[in-house]
Amino acid sequence: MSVACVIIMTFSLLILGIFLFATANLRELLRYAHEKVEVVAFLKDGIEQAASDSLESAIQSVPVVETVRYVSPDEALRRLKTEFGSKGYLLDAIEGNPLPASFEVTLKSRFRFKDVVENLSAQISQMPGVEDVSYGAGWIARLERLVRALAFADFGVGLVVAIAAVVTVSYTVRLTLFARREVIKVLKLVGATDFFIMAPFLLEGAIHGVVAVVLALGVIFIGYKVVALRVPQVAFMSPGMIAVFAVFGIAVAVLGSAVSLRAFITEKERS
Amino acid sequence: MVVTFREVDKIYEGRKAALRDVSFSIDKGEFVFLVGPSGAGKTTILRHIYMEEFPTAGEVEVGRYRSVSIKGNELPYLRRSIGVVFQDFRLLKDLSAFDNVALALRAAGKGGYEMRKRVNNVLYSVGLSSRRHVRPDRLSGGEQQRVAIARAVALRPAILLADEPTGNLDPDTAGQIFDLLADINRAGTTTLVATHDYRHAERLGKRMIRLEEGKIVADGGTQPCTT
Repeated sequence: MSVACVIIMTFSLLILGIFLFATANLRELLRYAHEKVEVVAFLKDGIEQAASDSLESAIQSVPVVETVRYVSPDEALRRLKTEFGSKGYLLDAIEGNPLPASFEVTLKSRFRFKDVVENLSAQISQMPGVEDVSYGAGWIARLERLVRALAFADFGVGLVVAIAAVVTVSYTVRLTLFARREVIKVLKLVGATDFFIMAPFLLEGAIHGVVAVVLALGVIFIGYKVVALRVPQVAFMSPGMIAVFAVFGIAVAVLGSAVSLRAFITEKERS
Repeated sequence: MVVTFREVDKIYEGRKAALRDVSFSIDKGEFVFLVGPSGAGKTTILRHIYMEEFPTAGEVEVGRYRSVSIKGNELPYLRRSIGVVFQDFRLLKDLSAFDNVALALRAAGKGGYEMRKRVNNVLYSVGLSSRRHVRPDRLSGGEQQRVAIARAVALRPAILLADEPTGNLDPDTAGQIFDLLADINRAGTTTLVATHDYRHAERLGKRMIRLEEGKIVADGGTQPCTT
């Protein structure tokens, strides 16, 4: 098998690897986003302490709710100033505190989905003393759709890469076999089994698969390091994903060799 | 019978018949010459014996294997019972004489000390002990053919086939190769030699099967027939 074959395989695997890398990170982002799913209930101005307490109890009693945290108008303003950072002085121009008090409601982890969040929001918005409810489930649903689409893309790209790699490897192996046809003839003549003849070629295919996998992973790792300089949260492929990727790369290389060998060795057996 | 041909025809597409109604048998331990001009069908007969070719009609039986029923995975085992020697030697040029012979044993799953001992013995028997680490391109034609014969008999086959084994050799060396083949036959190996070199065939006084245009025109005499 030639260097060209390894290069083509490396590029094919690289494309698949990049998709897997992107999917892994979007999944991680989705997991993180699910953790952050919460409903914020803004309270009416001037609500009595007793009414506020009973509202908190009412929210806490909803089965899907994990925690309820009261955020006073003062704390809300402090947070806003922090978010404004160096431009926090702009808020000094505002007289008084226009921000309402609120309850930040988190859901139990198994309920952090769009439909549950919407139901809970609707339920809380009906409760007395609640002015408005906001939640961020909309973009989570979009992210979920994106991850699903990417998983399909992974499968599609994997399939295309597998076919491309098998075809490339099989054609290259066929050239090698043609160059070594005299050796194969002699081996058949002295009674070598097909496996004895095929084994070195399959091993060669596997070695080239390993080289292509290592090169592709190396390039992806360098890419990951570059991205991580700007986005430190980005994660590399998990060990499990690397293992699947490696097995996939080696398997298509061996399969490509086997396809050619089978055709080459068994042809003209009976004429 | 070790080898039996029954009414074998071989027709390649678009060409005239390579073999026509060929029938003969070879007994265990026999030495048989297959003689005839180029294109008479000698090589085709040999290829049918080690089943690289199969008859268009008729049947070939070699030991317990029959051309009509042999399976693909049985071919290696048939071929381990047959040693084949060619005019062009067919040695692997990257391997030493020793490794060329060892290849046949390795292909049959043999290795280790026993394998090395057998290779050394067989190289000794063809007179090449001192040349065992030399590659084929550094050996003379006669020496290369001796390596090829050593490779063919290394697995102690029941049958030895030789296809124009002296075609590339000078007369003296050719005589030595025929004597070597006769020695191998005397040790019990059924031997079939395809040649157009009648003189050596006559000298050894063995059975001759004469072919012309794919047909057997004479069988049994020790003299080449003229028709």
